[in-house]
Amino acid sequence: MITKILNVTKSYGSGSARAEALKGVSLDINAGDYIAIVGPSGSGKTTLLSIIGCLIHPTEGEVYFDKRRVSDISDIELSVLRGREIGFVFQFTDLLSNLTVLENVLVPILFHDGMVDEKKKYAVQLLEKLGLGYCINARVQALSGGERQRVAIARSLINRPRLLLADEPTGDLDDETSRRIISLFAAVNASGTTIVFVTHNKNFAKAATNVYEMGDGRIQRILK
Amino acid sequence: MRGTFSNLAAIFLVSINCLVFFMWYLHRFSPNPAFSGQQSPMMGLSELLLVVLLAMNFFSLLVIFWLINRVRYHEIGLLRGIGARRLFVFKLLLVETWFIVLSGAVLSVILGFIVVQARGEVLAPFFATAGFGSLIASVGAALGSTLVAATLAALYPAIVICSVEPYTAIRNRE
Repeated sequence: MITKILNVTKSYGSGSARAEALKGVSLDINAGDYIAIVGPSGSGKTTLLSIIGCLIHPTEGEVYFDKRRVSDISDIELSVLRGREIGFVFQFTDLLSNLTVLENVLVPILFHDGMVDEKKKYAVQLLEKLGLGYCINARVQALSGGERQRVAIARSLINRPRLLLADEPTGDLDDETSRRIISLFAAVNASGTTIVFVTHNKNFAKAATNVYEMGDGRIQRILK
Repeated sequence: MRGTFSNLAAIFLVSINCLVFFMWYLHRFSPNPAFSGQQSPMMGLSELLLVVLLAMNFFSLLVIFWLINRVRYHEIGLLRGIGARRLFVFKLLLVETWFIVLSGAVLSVILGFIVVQARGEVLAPFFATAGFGSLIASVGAALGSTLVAATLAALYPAIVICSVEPYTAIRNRE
């Protein structure tokens, strides 16, 4: 098992402004899983994904990564975990706009390993595999939404993470680009990477081996 | 856009800071007692004004660095989210502060040159009696003091932003 979420709640704000994004969610994520989380906006999907990715701590409940309680892991170790073991594709394809495509993909390497030729070659390979070989040295500002999304995916894969988390990776993309990303995720999962993603795209959700539907801060149904 | 404006404002404040420090040290290091405050009671008063000016400048810098970090809140959250340690982000912010100091120092030389050009007849005897050694010492001390002041002003905003949870900062798309 990679991650275990045990009866997790997450609240934002305090007093009358307090809002509960998650209400007692439990979830097991095993190595090789390909999980889709679906549900309406505000159902807690992104918050759950962020807790799985160790980006926030839950208000209550426990999160385990590799059988270690995340709340016991130091901030430095969590940074290493996020950098090496977990790849994250954020909802708004966040890239560093003053860097080139290749530099953006290589950013996570700087934090822990330093720049090495092997990683540079791998970054180029990843970008070529994602159909971005033609714009490796272009500024990301000049790219389309689909291209930016693929750069974000390449960045999330650069450290060969064991767990890939993606928040709406096909959001706002055209059908052709969405299909490309769906097949890429399938290939990444086939190579042994565990994937958990949040989506509104029903076709994308169908590609997953497990589909959970969220609503009102809870996992309402297991669709698959 | 706001980031660029904040950076330019910081550079300008740093340059003013550097110029004020330079004048202060020139007073202190000048071999001429007329300029080192030993003869004129007005020198004591002007030094007090310099201290007040520097203090105001320090707090303005603190606010500007706070704004610079606020603008980059999302970016810093992103870096933390993909594996950057707090210390890495902290060092990054400090290095950027030092670049601002460097740019401010260059600007202060330009501003100083403009002032000398405009009011050269007033300042000429002052520089003439200050001596080359005290000029160099004043420049060095002004740069060092500006670096220390700007670093201190940047510390608190940097510490605060480094302690934010990555998710909170990533969700903030201000």
